[in-house]
Amino acid sequence: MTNPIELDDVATRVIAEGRYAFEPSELVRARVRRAVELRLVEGTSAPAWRGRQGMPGWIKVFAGAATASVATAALAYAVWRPAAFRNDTVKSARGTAQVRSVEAPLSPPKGEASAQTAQPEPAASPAVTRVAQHSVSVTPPSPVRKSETLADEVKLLGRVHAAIQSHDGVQALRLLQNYDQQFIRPQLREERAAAGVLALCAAGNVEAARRAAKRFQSNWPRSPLMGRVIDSCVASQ
Amino acid sequence: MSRPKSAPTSFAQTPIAPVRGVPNGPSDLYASHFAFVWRNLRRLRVPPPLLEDAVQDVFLVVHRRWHSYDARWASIETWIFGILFRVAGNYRRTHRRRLAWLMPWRDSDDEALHTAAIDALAPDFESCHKAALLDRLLDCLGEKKRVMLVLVDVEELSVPEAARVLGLNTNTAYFRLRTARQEFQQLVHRALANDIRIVRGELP
Repeated sequence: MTNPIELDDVATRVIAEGRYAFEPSELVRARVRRAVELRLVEGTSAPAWRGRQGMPGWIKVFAGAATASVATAALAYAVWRPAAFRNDTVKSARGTAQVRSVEAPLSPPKGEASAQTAQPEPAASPAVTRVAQHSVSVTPPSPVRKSETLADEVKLLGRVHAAIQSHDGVQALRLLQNYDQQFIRPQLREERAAAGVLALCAAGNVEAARRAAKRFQSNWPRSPLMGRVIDSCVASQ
Repeated sequence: MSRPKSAPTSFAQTPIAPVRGVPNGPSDLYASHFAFVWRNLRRLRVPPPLLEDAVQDVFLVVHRRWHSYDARWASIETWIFGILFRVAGNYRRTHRRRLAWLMPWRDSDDEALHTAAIDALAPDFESCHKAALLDRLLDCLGEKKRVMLVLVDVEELSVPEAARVLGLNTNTAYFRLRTARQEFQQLVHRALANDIRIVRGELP
């Protein structure tokens, strides 16, 4: 039997200091636990994001993410919303990551997917600008509609995913554009951004989808939707 | 042969000991071993964006196979590590190429990257980021040595337990631990030497 050497004090110290250096946060624990419970209830054996089953898998992820958003929204809403509103009104260059993600929607209008998604939207009145430039809209745009609920967002994103599943990328992008106009302070920004990547994939614009995916990764590096985004057309084949 | 002790007595801040014992069910495991699963998947190089998915997979397997767990056969840590070891392998194999567009993938067999990784370690050695040093050093070890070192020296499992997790003969496990420790120690001292040279102004 080979006798393993003992580590010296320096190496031992390095191990002792690094052993519990990166423990998961309570938020991560809660999020993963919720996802595991959801998958146990649904009887999903494979990770939902892998999307081999198409629409049903995505719905499960989406439902989990929506549930998480509802839970966190109640706590974060009172603090976050006034701040976002001020930033949205001032439109200054001091924007935080949150504000940038609101102001940089991923969905381009028809025919201009690549150019639009490569750059963030201009700071001034993005919704109004889009309405002026593009006449395509499913419902009339309204700058501020406080009555919009989370259910409305879920419903519209559900239509987006239905379009993606039917490989109608143009319709999906159009619906996402409508989403941006309808919800100026959306609660499902993360889900919308992920849907933007998939919509661009469905529209066949891989380069724009990759740029959007990179933005998604920088904004939500630990998103539960990250796997689904990676598993889309942006993956190197 | 006695299991090596890794925590020196000279340390002011003694880390919290890992949870040992037999839980009543898989739900208990979630509370007691989430951090264990998380940090070890991380050390087995599951890409950070996929870490949460990998943890989910591990706990799903834990739930499915809970009836087959026998506390007389292995400790709970050994059993879980066996699961997460395979899950991590699946994630690495599946996503290595696919993630290339998103993040640089450090390959421990690449000598140039290996050297660059060691040099990059030096500034962290005595800084506030030194807690990250262990993971970065482990990144520089080969796959087999890294797993062995993580099991025995980081998670403090016995060598026979580690051998069981990895499906190795005990003698092979001891030999692998020996080479892993030798290499790890060299890496540590190389990083330390670089740090001293930086302090002296010999390195930028």
